[in-house]
Order: sequence, then C-alpha cells, then structure tokens
Amino acid sequence: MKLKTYCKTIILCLLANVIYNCTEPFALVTESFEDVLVVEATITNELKNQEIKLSRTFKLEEGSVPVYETNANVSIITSVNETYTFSHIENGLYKSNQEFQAQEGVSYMLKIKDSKGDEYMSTDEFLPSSVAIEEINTKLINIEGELGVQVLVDSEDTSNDANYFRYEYEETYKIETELFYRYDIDLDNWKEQGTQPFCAGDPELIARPENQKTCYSTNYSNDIIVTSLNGLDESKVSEFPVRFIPVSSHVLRDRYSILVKQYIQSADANNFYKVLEELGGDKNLLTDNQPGFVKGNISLKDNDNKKVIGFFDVSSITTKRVFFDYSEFEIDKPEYIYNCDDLRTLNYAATDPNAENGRAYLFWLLSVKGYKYYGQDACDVFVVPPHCGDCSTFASNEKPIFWED
Amino acid sequence: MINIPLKKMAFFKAIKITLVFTLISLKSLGQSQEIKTLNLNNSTLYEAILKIEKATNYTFYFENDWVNNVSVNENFSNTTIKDVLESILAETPLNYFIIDSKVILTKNSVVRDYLPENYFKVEEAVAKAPNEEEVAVLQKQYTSTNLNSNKNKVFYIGKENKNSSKKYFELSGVITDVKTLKPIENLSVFISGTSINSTTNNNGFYKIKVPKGYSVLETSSLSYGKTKKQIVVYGNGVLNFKLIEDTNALDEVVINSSKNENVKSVEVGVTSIDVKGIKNIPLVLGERDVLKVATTMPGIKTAGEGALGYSVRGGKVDQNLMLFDGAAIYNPSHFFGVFSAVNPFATGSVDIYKGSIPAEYGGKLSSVINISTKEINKKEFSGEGNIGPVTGNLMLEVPVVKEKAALLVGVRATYSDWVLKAAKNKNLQNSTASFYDALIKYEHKIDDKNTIQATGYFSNDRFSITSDSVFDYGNKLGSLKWNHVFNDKNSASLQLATSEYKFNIIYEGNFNRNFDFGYKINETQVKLKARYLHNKKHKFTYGLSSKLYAINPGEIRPIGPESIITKETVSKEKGLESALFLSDIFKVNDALSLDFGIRLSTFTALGKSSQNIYAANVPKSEESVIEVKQYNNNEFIKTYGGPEVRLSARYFLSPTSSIKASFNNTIQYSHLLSTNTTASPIDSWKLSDLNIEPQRAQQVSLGIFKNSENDVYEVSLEGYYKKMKNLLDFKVGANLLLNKTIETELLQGDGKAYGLEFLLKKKEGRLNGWLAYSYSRTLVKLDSEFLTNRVNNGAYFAANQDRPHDVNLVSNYKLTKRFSFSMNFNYQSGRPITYPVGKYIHNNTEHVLYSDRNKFRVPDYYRLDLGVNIEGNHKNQKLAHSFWNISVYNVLGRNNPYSVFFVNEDGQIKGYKSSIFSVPVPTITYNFKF
Repeated sequence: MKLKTYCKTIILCLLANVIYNCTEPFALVTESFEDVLVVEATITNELKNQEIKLSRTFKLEEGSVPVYETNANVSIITSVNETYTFSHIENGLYKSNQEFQAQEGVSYMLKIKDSKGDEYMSTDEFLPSSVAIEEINTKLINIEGELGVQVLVDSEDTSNDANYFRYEYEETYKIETELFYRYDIDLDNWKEQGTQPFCAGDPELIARPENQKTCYSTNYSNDIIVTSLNGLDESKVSEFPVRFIPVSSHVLRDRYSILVKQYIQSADANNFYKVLEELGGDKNLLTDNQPGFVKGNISLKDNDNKKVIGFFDVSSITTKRVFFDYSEFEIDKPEYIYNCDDLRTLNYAATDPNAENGRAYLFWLLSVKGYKYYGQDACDVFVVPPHCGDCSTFASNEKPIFWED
Repeated sequence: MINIPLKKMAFFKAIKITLVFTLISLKSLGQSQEIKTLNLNNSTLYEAILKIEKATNYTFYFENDWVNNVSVNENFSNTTIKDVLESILAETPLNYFIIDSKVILTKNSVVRDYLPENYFKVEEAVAKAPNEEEVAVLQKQYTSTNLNSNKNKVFYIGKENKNSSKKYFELSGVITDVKTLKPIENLSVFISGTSINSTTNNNGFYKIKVPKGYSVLETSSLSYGKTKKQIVVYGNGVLNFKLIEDTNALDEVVINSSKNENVKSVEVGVTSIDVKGIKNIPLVLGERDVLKVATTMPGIKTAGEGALGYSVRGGKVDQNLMLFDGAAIYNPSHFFGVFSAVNPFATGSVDIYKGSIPAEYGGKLSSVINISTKEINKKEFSGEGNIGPVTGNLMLEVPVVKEKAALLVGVRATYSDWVLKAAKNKNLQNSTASFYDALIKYEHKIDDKNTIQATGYFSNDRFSITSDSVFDYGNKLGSLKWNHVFNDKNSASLQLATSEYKFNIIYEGNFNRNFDFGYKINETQVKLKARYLHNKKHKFTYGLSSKLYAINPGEIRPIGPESIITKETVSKEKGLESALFLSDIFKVNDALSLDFGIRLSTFTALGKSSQNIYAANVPKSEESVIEVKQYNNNEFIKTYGGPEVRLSARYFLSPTSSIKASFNNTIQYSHLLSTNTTASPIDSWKLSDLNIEPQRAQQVSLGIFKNSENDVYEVSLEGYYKKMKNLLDFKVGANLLLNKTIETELLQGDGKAYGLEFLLKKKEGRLNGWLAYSYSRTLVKLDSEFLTNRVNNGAYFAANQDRPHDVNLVSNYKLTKRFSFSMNFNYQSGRPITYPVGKYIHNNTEHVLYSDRNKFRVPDYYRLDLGVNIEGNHKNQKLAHSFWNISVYNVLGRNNPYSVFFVNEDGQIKGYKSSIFSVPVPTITYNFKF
C-alpha cells in the first residue's frame, strides 16, 4: 500500500504560507564530494542486445551531464554458466555483444570492473513471471483543481508471485504546423528591385515541401512509477495512473500516442525504486523523512563499506500502446506548442535597402532568420516565425513506424 | 459600640510615634491607686475597662479592636490598678502604661521607662538581631527599615515579656484561601534573609521559629504566588491569614515560584513553570503557551518552530512522560506544534523533571512533564479568556456546592479556516485546518479527610491541504482521583486514569484507491500512592501502579464501491506495565538530605498475537523468519523489567547555597515509530515485544545552586551525563504504517548525552527575567554486524535533536502598573541534517547521493521577540478585568531555516530550505477575566 506516498502529497507550510511564503530554493553547493559508481542495469525477457549504463556521481553545482564510466569491463554470468559480455557504445552505454533474453528459472549476476580497478558484483537475480497489460484507459479528471486526461493501466490477472510493478512510458505526439502555407517564396529568383503593379505574381513562389506540415515528437518518462498489489483486493493492477496530461497541454492538440512499459520486479528492486522516488519526492513537515544512502544489490568485492549506487534488476517486460487526441474528450482544442500571434507584414514594394519593413528586410527574415511565407495582400507580404510555419524546425518529420492515424 | 473621643485617638497615635522620646520625662509619673472592690464577672474586656474607669479616675486609651472579643471573669478587692490590669490583660497581647491618671494600652510592645542599652545602634542591632543579646523591640526598628513591599501593614506577634531573654519565638497559624476558605496545603512559609522555613500541612497549619523583632514572613506557592508580611515578634503568637490568587496585577515573571526551592529541594534538574508569569512573555499568534516557556529553560528544546514534541536533556520526543492531571497525554500540540494543546488559563502548574525523576513515575526515558490544572474557585463564578487572531479561548469556574464542589470548563477553538479561505493561493483556499480542545474538571471536598477530583480532556485537529486527503488526530483522556487523609502521618490517593490518542487519514482521490486509515493507542492506569511521615528525619512515599496498553496499530478500509483497497487490520497489541515504588526523603542532618527512591517496574507483552522468530546471524527480513509463534489472548509473550534507582542528595554549603547530585535509571517500554527527522502527528506507538527490546537509560547529574540578595537572584549550574541503550531508529525508506514485521526495518542502538546547564534568574523588581545557557550533545551509534543495519559505518554521530549551544534571555520590564514590556531572545545551534555529497543520474532523472547521516547542520537559529502588555483600568464597575497584549514574534525577521530538502523536479534536483516564520509576525490579543 502506498500510504506514505499519499501522505506525502501534502505540502505543509500551511499557516506560515498563509502569511508568507516559507519555502525558497537555494543554490546547491557540494560540501564534500564522494565519487561513486552508478549502475543502471535492467535486463528483460526481450530478445535484444541488453543495455547497461555506467556513470559516476558528480558535484551538485555542476550541470546535468554526468561523468560517464567508459572503460569498464561489464559482464553477466548466469547459473547455467553462460557469460554475456558488454561493450561500451557511447556515453556510458554498454550493450551486450550478443542478443539474449532473461529466462525464468535461471539466475543472473552482474560483474563490473571499473576504470579504477574496483570489482563489483551483484547478488543473483531471477526473472519474475510475466504479466501482460490488459488495457490502457483514459479518463478526464480533475486533480487539485486542474483538469486533465489521466492515462490508466490495467494489467492482466497475475500469478501469485508477480506482485511488484514498475512503469515507464514513451509518449509520441503529432504536430500539425499551425500556420502552414502551400508556397514558399523562391529565394533563388529573388529580385532586389522592380515589381509588378500591385505586386501581382511577384515575388515568385514555389510549392512548399509537405514534410514541413506534419511532425512527431517523443518524450520519455523521467519519474519513478512503482506500485504493488500488497493490500489490494485484486490480483491485478487496475486503473493505475501512469501519466496525467493537463487539458491545456499541446500534446493533445493533434494525435497522441503513449507506449506503456510494464516491468515485473522483485520485491527488493521495487523497494529500491520506491525509496529513491520518496527521497526525491515532495517534502513537508509531516513526512520530513530521514534521508540516507539507498543500498541496492551491488557491492564492492571484499569491502562492503564502499558505496555503489544502483540495482541490477531482472524484469519481465510487456508493453502496450494507445492513441487518442483531444476530440475524444469534451474539451477545447489545446493551443499550438508555440504562440503564433506574431504575424508580420512587410512591404514588398519598399525597395529602398534602408526602408523600414521593406523588401530587403523581408529577404533577411526569410533567408537568415528562417521566417516562413504566409501569403500576401497585394504588396503586403505576411511572414511567420519558423516554428509556426514549419514543425520540422523543432520536431522530427519522419513518421514513426508504429504510427496509426 | 464604644466611641473613643477623636481627641483621644489622636493623642494615642501621637504617643505611639513620639513615645520613646518622651519616656524619660514620664518616668516618675506612674503611680498606683487603691481599688476597693471591682466585679468584672462575665464582662468583655471593654466592659471591664468601662467599670474600672467608673470606679477610678483613670482614663483609658486604646483601640476598639483590641478589647472587644476578650472576656474577663474575675473579681478584685483591695488591690491596685496595676494588679487588676496585670490580671485582666494576662491572657491578651496587651500591655499597659500609666501616666498620671491615664492608662495607655498598647498591643505587643511594652512601653519602657528606660532606653535599651544600645538603643542608638538600633540599625545594627536589627541586622544582627538573632545573634545579639536581648534587644528590646521598638517601633523604630521597622519604621527605619525601608521595605519594598507594597503592603505596609505590620503584624505584631505575641506579647513582650520584660523578663524573657529568648531570641526566638514560635509563630503558628492557619493559611486559607480567601475565596474558597479552603486551607492551603504545602505552602512554603519562610523568613526573608534566613534559612528559616516551614510548610503548611494538610490543614493549612504552619509553625515556624521566628527571631525576635522585625522580620518579613513570606509565603510562596505555585497557585498563590508570593506574599510578604511584615511582622514584629514579641513572643509566641498566632498569625492566621488568607491568600488570594492575585492575577490582576502585572506579575513579575517568576519561573521558580518557591522562593528558595532551588537551593532547598533534594531533587536536581527540576524546572517549574510559573503559569501566571507567562503572560509577560511575548506570544506567537496570540497564544499563551506554557510548554513553549519551558523551552526557554536550559535542557528543554524543540526541533524548531512548528515541530512536535520536546527533547529533554538530549532525549527523543517520545521519551517524555507527559501527564495531565495524572493521565498521560500523547500529543499535546495543535497545528503541528505551533500551538500547545494545553489550555493556559486552566493550567495550575507545570513541573519538568529532567534529572531526578521521582520513583512514582516511570515508563519513559528522559523526563516527566507534569501538568496540573488549577484549583477551582469554589466560592464564586469566575472566568478568563482571550481573543487572538487565530484562536479564541474561554475558561469558566462554576461553584456547584459553595465552598465544597466546583466545576471548571475550558474551551479553545480556532477560526483559522477563514484565514485560509481568504488566502489568494488557490491551493490554500482548498485547505482546511481546524483544531479545538476542551477541558472539564470537577472537584469535591467531601469532608476534611476526603476529596475527589475528576478531569476530562479532549483535543482534536483536522486538516486537509490537498483536496483528496483529510487528516485527523486527537487526544482523549480522563482521570479520577480520590485523596484520603488517615491521620497526621498517613495519607493516600487512588487514581484511575485513561488516555487515548488516535489519528485518521481519509483519502478520497480520483482513482479506485480511496481509503480510510485509522490508528489508536489507549492506556488505562490505576495508581495507589501513599505518604507516611515517619518523623522529622524520614518521610516515605510508596505505592504501586499498573497500566494496561491497548494499541490498534492500524486499520485500513476501502471507501466507496469502486475502491480496490482491501480491508485490513493489523492485530491489536496489548501490554501490561506495572511498578512498585518506594522513596524516602531522609534528612541526615540540617545540611544533608537524601532522597532515596526505588521503582521496580515490569512490562509484559500480552497476546493475542503472532510473533516472528528470526534466524540468527542473518539480517532480519521476511525471508529469515524461521518460526511464527502464536499466542492466545492474554498469554505472556515476553516480560521485561528491572529496578530503577532514583537517588538524589542535597548538601547545604551555606544557608543560601547547596550542592546536589543524583543518579537515575529509567526503562521505556513503549516507542514512537518514526522515519522522520522530526516527529509527526501520524507517527504511531509500538510496545516492546519479542523482537523490540525496551529502551534503557542511566543518568548522573551534579549541580550547584546559589541564591543571593534575599533570594532575588538565583544562579545554578548543572551538569549531566546520560547513557542510553536500545534507542530506536529505522532503515532509510522504512514503511511503518500497517507493517506487520516492523522489526525487519528496525535499528536499535546506543546513545549518550551530556551537557552543562547554566541559569541566572532575577526574580523580582521592575526588571526581572532569566538567562539560560546550555551546552549539550547527543550522540547515537547504530552498529551491526550487517551492513544494511549500520549507519555511518557504526560510529557515533550527532542525533537529530543534537543542538550544542542554546541561549535564552527572557526579561520583563514593568514601566508602570499598566504598562510592561517583555523581550525574549533565543539562539541555538542549527539542527543536524543529512546533506548530499554529490548527485547522479539514474533512469533519466537526477538524484542526490546522501552519505553520512547528520554530518551537516542547518544554519544557526536566532530570534528576538518583543511584547507589551497594557492593562485595562481597574474601575470597579467594569464587568471584567482586561488587558491587551501586543507582540511581535521574530522582530529581526531572521529567516531561520527549519529544514533543507532536495526535490526532483522534471528530472532535475532542486534544493529548498523551508522556514516557518521568516518575517516578523505581529499579534494583538485581548484578554479578559471576570
């Protein structure tokens, strides 16, 4: 039962907050630094080149780029005497040299020798039985005064030993360029001087490529979403919230798709993730939890006082994808990702290079600033900023293979 | 009634003052005159005097009061007026003097016809009076001594006997309450500037040895404050008087009411809070808070503003036995600790035992905080109340049977909800926070030997900060006490007390996981305590107590048909804690007193229950359970116990200074489970069982106490060292609610605490107050052969409550009768925190790496509060006496960080510090009394 998590959503500045704000951010400064190996290792029952990420801790005041551990020897040894070795690809990412999948009844152990020569070993881990996602539902609900679409997951009935679930998601959404125009000004045939009366047929236009009209963007979950069946009536996960999208979010504007990954974990792995999540979660006077080091199942050979972060997790995975958009709910169409009220009007007839909003300026906007043509009224030429006229300036215009319209 | 001519009275008064100067010239004028017969049967002294005046040509000069109630039953014949007067005045405190045909009666003093030898050194003689030779008592002696006391009345005790050379006389009397007329017991009575003291017995009777001549007799008690009476002692005598609870005047801030109690008492490490005095201390949000005042004394701390509980001498918040009229109160605070749940108007006294704990108390490791409600006014209807910005408070005293039985009702409630509703912040508008507490007390004096007292108390807090959950917590307690006096030497009391603490969480969110969670602890105690005053040297207290605990550790129920939460109940816990206690205050000699106490306590965890037995040599976990033992209802699961020694000694170094020492050991069988760095209202209690051993502590203290300038100044320095065993802590991220195998998350370790406490008090005068400083450390060690059960590699580290330096300055300046100013300054070392030593990325998200626990501290804490009290005028026609209090809390606007924490926001770690009152908080409160 995730009772503590519910308690934690409470923010308590209460009375003080009534009168004054009581919580303020401050700049983090490392008082004393500890260099520790960080292991992200989840192998699954998917047949693939399994991935393991290694990095090291870095100082609090530094940005978000960790120090990657690139020169480690990484291998997984099984109880049936197989050894899978891993090679460094890039940025601390190691991939197994051969494809393999975790199998039930076999134990797996992770071995790492890092660049400092320290040898780490995990405990033996087993693959929990697999449980499929039955369905993914959406529901329009109000959370803390904010209306949004809640994505809920239901698993199938589990066997008794599958109790601990972890979720990740990948959301992909379609972006229809808001101010798409079928033509572009042909800059190759740009004329600095001279014009037709009323600018008819001048400047010259060419058809705009279609791939600037529709794009796709993908986000990955970055919070820890764990649950368990302890304390529940049912032997399945039902209506478990994995993602809440406020109705105003642009991702709902055109078509939206979410891929939910369901991992079945061991109790220890689940606890590791849960404690990590709680330590980084909302804090308040009610649950001013004692923080501390969270130990996983990996330790340094011969010296268990030395720290190493991470849990070698052998999980079974199932995934399911759904599609929807705003129109399936009784809500207004969300705004475009960017504000596109900034439609600019330029005078094509003003050919003096120094003229304000004249032809020279138009050329500069189109060629240097990437502005997009948006039609004209006689000599008044309309242009829009690049992200309003061409989604490929900020998202991918390649249609994902899984995409269904 | 007699009318002494005005002229005569004036004459008399003139004589009184000038008497001594005219005595010489009067010397030869006294002469005798024959009286033939005089029948004074069955007459009052007044009638007798009239008869003498008739029979002779003498004129008497006297005051009516002196002669009205004295009866005379004698006949005289052929005698002199001298003999008659000697005879009829023999049993009275009156003396006479004859000048010509005038008889002047004087009370107490002998009018002398000669000057005492050293008359002109009178000042010096006063100072040395008890040790000098006989000094004639003259009026001059007191008129020449300038007294601060506002009550200038002088009481004359006894009658002077010219032939007596005694230097000390016996003064006795009965002290009663002016309203209830009830004798005041345990009132200390003493002579200023000396170590002469006594206390009243159950009947309000006192007897005290007093030096001849002028003295100041003082009384002191918690409920009656202090009084002074000027006395001039001529001989043995009686002085009965009444005391009033004088709360209307601006009191001086007095913490230790008993004048020289700090030097005299045998106990070391005891703090008494003067409840009336706290109105002169600046308030936060208009609430007078008895317990907050306690934290300005050395050795008593909180984790910060808005933190629950008190840490006494390095103990944890669950290690204090907090008693409210004898019943334990589990969470005496509202609003997460911003307000205390103890009604200040109904509180009579607060005593905190942090060093020597009397043998009658036990079950908690660090201290006993004993809160008693006030004695109810049984004479007339009265009340007191206040209106502040957040709360309203009213207390009424209602006599039921006049002088015999009375009822006290106290209610306090908040109207903070509207404050929240008025807030601009949308989240706050959805919040609610309310609390109230109510108190009812009944006292009945059946006869001189039997009294009963019943107290009921209820408190509740309810708050909701997010729209989906509502939290509730509250105390409920009741006590019934019967006092019986067997005889002068033996008395006893029997008390039944019960207490309950519970909290509840209702979660109604958007999904199918709505639930209602409840926790409840209940305890019921029977205690029999008896006193036996064997003789002057030995005073015994003995008795037994037994307490039954019943805990419902948690029940969760689904709300609504959609909820998929399983109804689940963790089975009830039961335990019986019993003790036998005996203590003897042994007065070895005038200088040395010992208080020897022993408490034999035992605790038995009772079924029905199932207990896990874990494999040895591996960490406790659900996997290492090797056996589950089932116990039937009331079957003994495990018994713990042992002797608890409570020994203290006091030795007078001089009449105004003493040295004290004590040794104490304590055992605690019930524990607060908390994974928080500070306590929270939804922390639950757990009893010791097969897998959780009781906490144990031993403490030695040594203190030196000194009073000076007539007990106006009080200085003390105390040191202590405490060793603790089996302190409870938990693994990081432990889940304690509804956990059936809590022991797998538990870490039990050792602790040690030591410190020095200094206190300087000025108890009287326009400027008064105190300065307290303590240096204290608390260290904890969580070691184990298993890595998972080790914290900081098994070395000692600073406990959460460790705040080495603590300075408090509380002072009050009385400008006029109506205006007084108060000030409170506090400085404390910041509390320890666990601070990250780096960060890392895991699962696309930043996390921080925590290393050693409590290695860093939040910045030091300091705060200055100022207040002014403005008394209403004291016109009689006013319905109620009232005063205004204006306070500014945290005048310097110091942003004292309460905690520092790290939150994951969109994959990035952000550091935040929170504080409770980071800017000055002004408050105005209206107080009234009728």
